[in-house]
Amino acid sequence: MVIRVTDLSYSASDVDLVCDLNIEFQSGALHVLLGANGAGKTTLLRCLSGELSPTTGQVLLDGRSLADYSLLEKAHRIAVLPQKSVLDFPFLAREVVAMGRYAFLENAASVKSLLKEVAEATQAVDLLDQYYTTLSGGEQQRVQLGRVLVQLWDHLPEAVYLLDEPSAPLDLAHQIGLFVLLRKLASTGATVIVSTHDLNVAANFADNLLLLRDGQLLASGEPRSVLSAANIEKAYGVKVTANYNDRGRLQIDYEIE
Amino acid sequence: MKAVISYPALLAILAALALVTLGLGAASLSFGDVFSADADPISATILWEIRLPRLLLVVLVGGAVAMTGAAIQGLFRNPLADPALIGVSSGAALFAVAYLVLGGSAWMGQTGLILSSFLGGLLATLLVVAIGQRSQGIAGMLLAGIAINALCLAGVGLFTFLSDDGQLRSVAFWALGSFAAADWSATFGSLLLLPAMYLLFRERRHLDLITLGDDAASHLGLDIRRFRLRVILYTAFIISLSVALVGIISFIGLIVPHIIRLVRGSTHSALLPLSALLGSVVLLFADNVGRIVVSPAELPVGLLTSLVGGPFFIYLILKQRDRLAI
Repeated sequence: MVIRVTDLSYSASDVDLVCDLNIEFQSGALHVLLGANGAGKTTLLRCLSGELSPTTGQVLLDGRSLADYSLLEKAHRIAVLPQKSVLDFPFLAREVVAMGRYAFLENAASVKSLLKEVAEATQAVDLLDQYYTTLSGGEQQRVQLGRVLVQLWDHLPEAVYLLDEPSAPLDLAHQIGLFVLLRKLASTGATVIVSTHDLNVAANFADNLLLLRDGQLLASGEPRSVLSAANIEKAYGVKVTANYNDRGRLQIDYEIE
Repeated sequence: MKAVISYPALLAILAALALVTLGLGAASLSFGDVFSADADPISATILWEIRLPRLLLVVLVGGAVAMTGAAIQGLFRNPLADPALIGVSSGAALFAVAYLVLGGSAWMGQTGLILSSFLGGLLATLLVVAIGQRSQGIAGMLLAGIAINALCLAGVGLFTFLSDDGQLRSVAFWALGSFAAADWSATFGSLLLLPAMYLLFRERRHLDLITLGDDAASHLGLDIRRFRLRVILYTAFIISLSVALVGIISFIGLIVPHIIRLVRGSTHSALLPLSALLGSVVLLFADNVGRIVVSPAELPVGLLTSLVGGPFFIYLILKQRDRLAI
């Protein structure tokens, strides 16, 4: 067990964005957060990262309240990709990725070799020497992913990665590449918690699915049990049929009115 | 362009410009005079008491103002940001004008003017910080800066209204920014810019990080509140001191970092020192032009930097808007 959330609520201007959540996030697993817009995925991730202090309840990292961690301690355990990145200065992509190593004092050579590994893993090698501001949205996202991944790349067994819709701007190939990579990270012991709107990807890659609705946990566990037609309709308000094909892959069909 | 914006090239240009500066002016000195000035006592006086202190003052102020501009743009994550945003220039201006109009010069002279405008700059900044720190992001500070700026400028207007003709003239001269009154005491005072510049340079990695956004920077381990406070205090110190010494020099802090960023990117470990060097070069060049065009009279250098800087800035915006993402 790495992260445990107990009785967690967060409200802003008297609206509960997440409410009474009790969740355990095991290490070495890929946890995928699902839910409609405004269901509380981002709020939950921001509570897990310590960006928001819960209104009630708490977040425990290795049994210790997240609020008791110093900024630097947190940076050595948790890496966070926000839903939106704001950078609009002309840095080279390699400089942006290298910023991920701020919390670690090290020599240029070791940063360089880490950078190389991560760039290969995120398929961003040929982006490194371009200016970030000249890249497309999807390319910028890969650079930001590199920055977040490199932060804990040499500490994977203790690493917690919180990624808010990392695949949203990516094309199909890079979406699949990303989730293959996240699976690999999880298999080395990292705890990966990621939100997405792609139900197929969630079904195919997740160890643990968490389906949120109105700030509450609607269902969680194995993808097959969570992603039932009934649950999907409850969460998204869309009538679907959910079938599994010969290879055990989820196929969702929906009605268009 | 890439060849010009480098340490050796900028240092060489600065050195050449410095030599020309020492020789140039209402009384022209040859290179021989510059190097063996002790032969002629008048030349020696012009060189040692007028041109050398002025040269050093211009170089220091130009470097410090440009470097501060680079830092404040990083801090506010906006390539159009200016040190004036945090209220420091207008605060310094208000106290300087108040000092002139209320007759401070009668009992404390030029030193009093410097001290009071320095104090004004710091006070305005502290007020902006005190109000701004109550809200989470940098926006609170920005809005507080706008409010304090407006208040201070209203105060400047009020004192200008109250001033007599003689005072008005010195107020105007000071508001335009000028090195005409440079002497060794001002130059020695400006040496205090150096430690502040060093402290600002030490924030280079943090400045890189903050461009990612407040949350991203703190997830990487940066204590953004303390960092922000440090940068603002160093900025307030540098701008207050330079405004106090030579008045308001516009556009150097805005344009110089722009040019460096266009050519060398945004990494602050290069951006800060290169901005300082180019700032010195540009201001020294502008000051020389100001001394020569209407010789033996002088154009205030702040007027020149605005006159050239404004159109150049518009040109930059139009030409580079994709790259700058504005």
